[in-house]
Amino acid sequence: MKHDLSNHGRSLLNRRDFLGQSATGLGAIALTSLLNKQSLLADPLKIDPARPHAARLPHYPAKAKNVLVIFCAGACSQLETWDYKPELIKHDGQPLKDGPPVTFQGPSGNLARPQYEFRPYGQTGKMCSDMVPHLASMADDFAFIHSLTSKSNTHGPAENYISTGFALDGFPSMGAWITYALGSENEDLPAFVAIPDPRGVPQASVNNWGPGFLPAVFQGTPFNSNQPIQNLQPPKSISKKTDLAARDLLKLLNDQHLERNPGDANLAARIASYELAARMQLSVPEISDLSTEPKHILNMYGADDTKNEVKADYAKNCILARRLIEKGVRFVQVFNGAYATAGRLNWDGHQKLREQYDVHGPIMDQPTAALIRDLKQRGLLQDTLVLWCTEFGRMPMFQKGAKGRDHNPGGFTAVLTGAGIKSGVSHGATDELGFKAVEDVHPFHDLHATLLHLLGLDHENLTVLHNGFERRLTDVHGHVIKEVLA
Amino acid sequence: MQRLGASLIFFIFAATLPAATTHWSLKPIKRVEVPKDANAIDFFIGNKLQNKSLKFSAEADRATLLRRVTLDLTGLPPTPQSVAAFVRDSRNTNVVFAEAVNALLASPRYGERWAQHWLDVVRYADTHGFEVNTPRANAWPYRDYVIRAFNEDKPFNIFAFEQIAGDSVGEQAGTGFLVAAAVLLPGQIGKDEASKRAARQDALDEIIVGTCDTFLGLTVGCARCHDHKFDPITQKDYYAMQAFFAGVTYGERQIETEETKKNQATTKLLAERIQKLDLQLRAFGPDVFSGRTIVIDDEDTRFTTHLKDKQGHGTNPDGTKRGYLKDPGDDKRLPNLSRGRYTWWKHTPGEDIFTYNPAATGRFRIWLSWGVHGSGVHTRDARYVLDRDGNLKTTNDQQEIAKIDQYHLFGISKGETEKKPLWSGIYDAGTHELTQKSRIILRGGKTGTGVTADVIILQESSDTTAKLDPPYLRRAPDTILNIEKFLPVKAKFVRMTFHETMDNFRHEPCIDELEVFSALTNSVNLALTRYGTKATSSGAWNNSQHKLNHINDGQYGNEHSFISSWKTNGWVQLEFTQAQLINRIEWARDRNLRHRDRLAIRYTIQTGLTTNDWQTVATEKDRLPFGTPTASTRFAHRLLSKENVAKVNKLEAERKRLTAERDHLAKPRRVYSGQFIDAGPTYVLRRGNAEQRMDRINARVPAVLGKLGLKLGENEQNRRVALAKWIASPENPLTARVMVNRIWQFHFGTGLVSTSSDFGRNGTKPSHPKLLDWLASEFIRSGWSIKHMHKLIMLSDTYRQSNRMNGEGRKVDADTRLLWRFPSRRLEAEAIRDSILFVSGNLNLEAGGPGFSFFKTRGGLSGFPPVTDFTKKEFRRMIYQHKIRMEPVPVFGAFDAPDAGQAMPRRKQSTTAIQTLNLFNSPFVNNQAAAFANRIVKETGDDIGKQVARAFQLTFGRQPTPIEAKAAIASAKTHGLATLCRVLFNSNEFLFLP
Repeated sequence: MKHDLSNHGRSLLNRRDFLGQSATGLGAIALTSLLNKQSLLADPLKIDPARPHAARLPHYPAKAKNVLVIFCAGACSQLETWDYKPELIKHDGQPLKDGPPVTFQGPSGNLARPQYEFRPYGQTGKMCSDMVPHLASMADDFAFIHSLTSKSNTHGPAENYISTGFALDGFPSMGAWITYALGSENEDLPAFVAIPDPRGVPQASVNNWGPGFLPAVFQGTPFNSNQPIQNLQPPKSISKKTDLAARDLLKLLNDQHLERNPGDANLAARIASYELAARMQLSVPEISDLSTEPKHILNMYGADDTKNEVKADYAKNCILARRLIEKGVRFVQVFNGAYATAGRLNWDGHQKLREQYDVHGPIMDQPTAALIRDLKQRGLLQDTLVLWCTEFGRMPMFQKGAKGRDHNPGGFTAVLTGAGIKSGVSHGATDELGFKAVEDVHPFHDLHATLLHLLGLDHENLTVLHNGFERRLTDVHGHVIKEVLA
Repeated sequence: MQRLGASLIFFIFAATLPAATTHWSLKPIKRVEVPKDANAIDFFIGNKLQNKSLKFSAEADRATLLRRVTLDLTGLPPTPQSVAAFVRDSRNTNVVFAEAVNALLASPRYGERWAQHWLDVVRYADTHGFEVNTPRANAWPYRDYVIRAFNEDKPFNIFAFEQIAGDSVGEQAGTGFLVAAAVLLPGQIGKDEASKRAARQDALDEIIVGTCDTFLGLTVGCARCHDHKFDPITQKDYYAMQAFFAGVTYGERQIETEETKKNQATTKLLAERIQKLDLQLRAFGPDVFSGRTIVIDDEDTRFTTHLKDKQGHGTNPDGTKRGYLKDPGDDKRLPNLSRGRYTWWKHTPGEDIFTYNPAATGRFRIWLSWGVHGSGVHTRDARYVLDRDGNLKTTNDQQEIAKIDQYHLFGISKGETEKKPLWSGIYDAGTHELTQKSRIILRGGKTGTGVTADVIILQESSDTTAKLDPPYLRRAPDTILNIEKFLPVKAKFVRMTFHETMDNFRHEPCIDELEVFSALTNSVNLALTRYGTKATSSGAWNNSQHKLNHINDGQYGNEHSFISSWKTNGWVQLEFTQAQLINRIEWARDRNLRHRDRLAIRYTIQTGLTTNDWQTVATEKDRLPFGTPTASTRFAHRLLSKENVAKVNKLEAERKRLTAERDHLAKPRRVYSGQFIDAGPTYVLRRGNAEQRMDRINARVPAVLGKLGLKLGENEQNRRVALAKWIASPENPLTARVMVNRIWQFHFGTGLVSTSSDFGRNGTKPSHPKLLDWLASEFIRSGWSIKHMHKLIMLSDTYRQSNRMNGEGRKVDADTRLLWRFPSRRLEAEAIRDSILFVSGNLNLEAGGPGFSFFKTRGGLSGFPPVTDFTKKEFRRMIYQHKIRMEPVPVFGAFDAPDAGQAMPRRKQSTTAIQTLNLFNSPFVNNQAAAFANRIVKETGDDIGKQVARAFQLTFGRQPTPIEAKAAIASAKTHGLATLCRVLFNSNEFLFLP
């Protein structure tokens, strides 16, 4: 292990010692400003309370401005998507030598071949499964990381780990960290939007977009094409005229109050927040209104699929995601898959994986592929980093007496594309059966570090002091995965 | 009052602390005395201000002061009356203000506010957290305990002790602290052993980290994997701390307190009163049925014949729904008489299956019952045929008396039936003439492939039965009391014969007292020996508890009872000195309710003038069969005369009330406060990995802090007691410092040490170290009184300053750390919500107990949709919510309310557009605005000027300025008063601590 606390943590400490010893405050101020130039100080006071989402500069020039995460809740199997294992086909039906007799849910059965055929795609000839033909057709644009590991084999904690860097409850989510660091390019919209799946919320629910111990202003705002932001509009019983009159009266009272309490930035910030809210009341319905999308776009995403309602709704979520990115929203997290329901509504295929993935695959594949393609054709991929991921992988064996795979935190795949990402690479590998990551192994923290890096943020310097720890998204870990950088 | 005096805890304090260490917070507390007459707080704060050429601001005006102190201590704004009285009071402000602070500290609202601060630190929630986030149903007693502790000003050293070892002093709820964190439940942990060990290690880590953060301000979490880089905490120290808690597991314990003991006593008294009522109620039971009653179960081989082999039985499912095993019936419907199951056969149409053989001559009314199942095979037209001569070969004497749909319950003829074997209820097949030989044939119907049989009832035709449906049946015999009432009869002898006891004749019958009452206005029990009555029997036990003459000794209970020496057909007989007119006999197994065995379930009671002319006055035959569920007393009372209905209703209402009270008190009180086990030795783990054990380690505190001298293998509770004593010791330099700093922080927004759970080298240094030490020593000197510290702080000039900015202060100390003004700040989520309800007049002050929910449903796919139709219970103070870990509370969660994932020693203060949308647009706030408007109209009438003035008084504690009044009146005129109220709830003046 490298070291346990960031350089920045040490310098902060030194700064405190210095402040304590300094006879005049001048030296301290000089040092503080020096530190400010070197790194983003983990100090909420630097954030203008009236404009918490104002765009802020990163540590160093960034490759990416926005992030789009497509999160497949329930643990989408690497073996049925991107991690081609010809040896597994050969060993179908045999026991895994020296394999674990018991895994998360119970006794292990025998090895089971990938449940879909694989075929080569694009110039790179990347082997991808028949479950994801639309996404696979863009394989030349993607960077695959096949050797990720998780800290937990349980959905909730593992989703926590992917989204917050910690398996425990209560830590800030990726999107919160990033909007805390960088603000947003569009102050009329939430800086961080979480788009839950039409079938329901994911296993770790709000943890995936929570603020943890960061100010609440940096939490993700959840809404999707079916469920608007709560309380976005006043109750129907209040007319537009009355609503405006109320705003005017409130402004008058608050201005009077501010006059009696001059110079209080917090009061000014609250007044400003009503103005931002008013703008949001206009901008959010506008961005959620997909009726302005042309027919061919709806068709490209599958949003007009009348035979598959869930797919159509998920496709609408994908269109919403594109519109948000287009408008400069910093962090958009799209969820595919809901809460654990024995794999019925998410990727948790314990018992009848093929049967369930036959349902989930078409819902995810075309709309997600269309989203990435649409971003590309609009030139948005130049500034947008796209990450497709899931909370962990699945076992190469079937569970005993079942036709599905158990949880496997030992090796799984994520897909990157867009700003700053090298196209057409496959990095890292699991063993020949896809059981464990063995080559260029990367705890998911490395992906966090890479994400921040592309945004111009040094993951070791993006910290907040909480209960005695300089907390970061990468805990005390994380190495940028250089091999996937353009 | 406190069970554990401070002196008692600490005189055996064995730890020693190192005399000097380099870090400030580990050095002993040093009290610097301040000049006489000086207020210590103002002295230290003033000195520092002077050093920076700053001055205190002027004192805030009285109305502001009262608003500040009321919100600060209770989380609610002052009422207009209290503001007016406070402002008008002509006495010195010091005096008036001190009185106000005292009054607020004495209010129960104080504990409800300040307990929340503590709950933030311990990350309290009513759910387990993580993905499943299931309810932690009995967490709330800890929350109530904390509220009570603040309200009672429980000395903090005792409070701290109880957090870690409350079980050792009978304060079970206290250790809720140890297990307040989120935890993975067994089903969420992998089935493999490594996963289980890792999860256990995480759960223990929460306890160690929680204890060290909360009381010591020491961050030890990183030492789980390696020696602390900044503080003198080694990895060994971490696992030595773990050894204190190795036996603490996440779970519930029963609470044993003075209160629960009192409850137990009350429960007993209530049970006795309920018993008395029961006995009173039974006196209203009906007379013995004068004719014959015959109940034939399908499995009673004495009165049935199988004509073909049965296929099997259908067993009624357990439960109280109609047709289920414990279906108690109601005032119109009989309880389940099936004895738990029916018999079924495969059938072909017209096939004779089974017969009931009543073996009785006379006119009888017949009720049928059958087995129901929604499987679809049951016949829809089973035939019941009366065969008068009992010879099945002759058919000209046969008469079809019923055609029964066995797919449905009685009285239902359409729709689906549950796919479960149910009892049908009874069908009246009319009155028929029977002979000794007559039989009732069950014959296969034209439909279905299965036919069933269950109990039937025959009752001799009379005026009574002609009017009755269902049949005249008294309650089943039971062990508590059986009353037999009949028309007056003259008797010198009474004999009771016991044919059968419960459990298939296993035991001899027992009667604690056989009472025979005279048919006179002043009825007496003639059986008593005092009237010269003599008892004889066919044979009786003879020992100290059970003997023959206990049958009429006037004493109840097993200790004074009669047991026959015969298992069947034994008898006991009473002989009066002369023939008496009698009309009631009462008997029981054990009127004292302790014994429920040896009950006679078939019996005959006879009377005679001699022993040759026996006349039967009562049997069990007109009773419901033994074992019939009779939870409902209503059926038993359906035969009441009108004048008795009222009496019975009254008694039953009283019984219901007492039973509810008893059930409530008798419920075992449990609290989620850990279970303590012997977990075996603790090992240092390499890099925190539960799979890599290194050396075994003993429980001890971090070496740099001292020694407890516990022996290896000390028992579980002793280990925690030793740690708790050490933490709660006045010698411990951290405990008092950390707590006074927290108190300071909640008053001023920032602590003297701004990192209030980190007093290590990574935390900040105190802004006023001497003041911190002075406060800590004063805290200990006062007997660890938190209320004493409130008074000290709030009565200081420092606290009473105006909050106005000034140029000088802002230039030198923009963050107001030096306190040249009172640092104003936005109120927390709870204070905002509760204040809105308080002002609207809807706040429900019901305190304690299980929390109310902010959500319609919990978890799963739909997440947590907010409650939108509010009732009174949702208007309780927010601390009484059922706190869902991680899930933001609707509307107010956006105001930086902690999620109880990680400890939140100091809340954030963010300002967001989402807050604004929630507060401005939510149905909750707008409903309260409407309620507030109604309240104002009720209080002031129609004058709009008065209405506006009242609105300002209630929200801000002041009159509107002319500009405000003008705008507000104009707005209220055009857009209604509720619009003004909505605006006031959203105004900065309402939302900020002034």
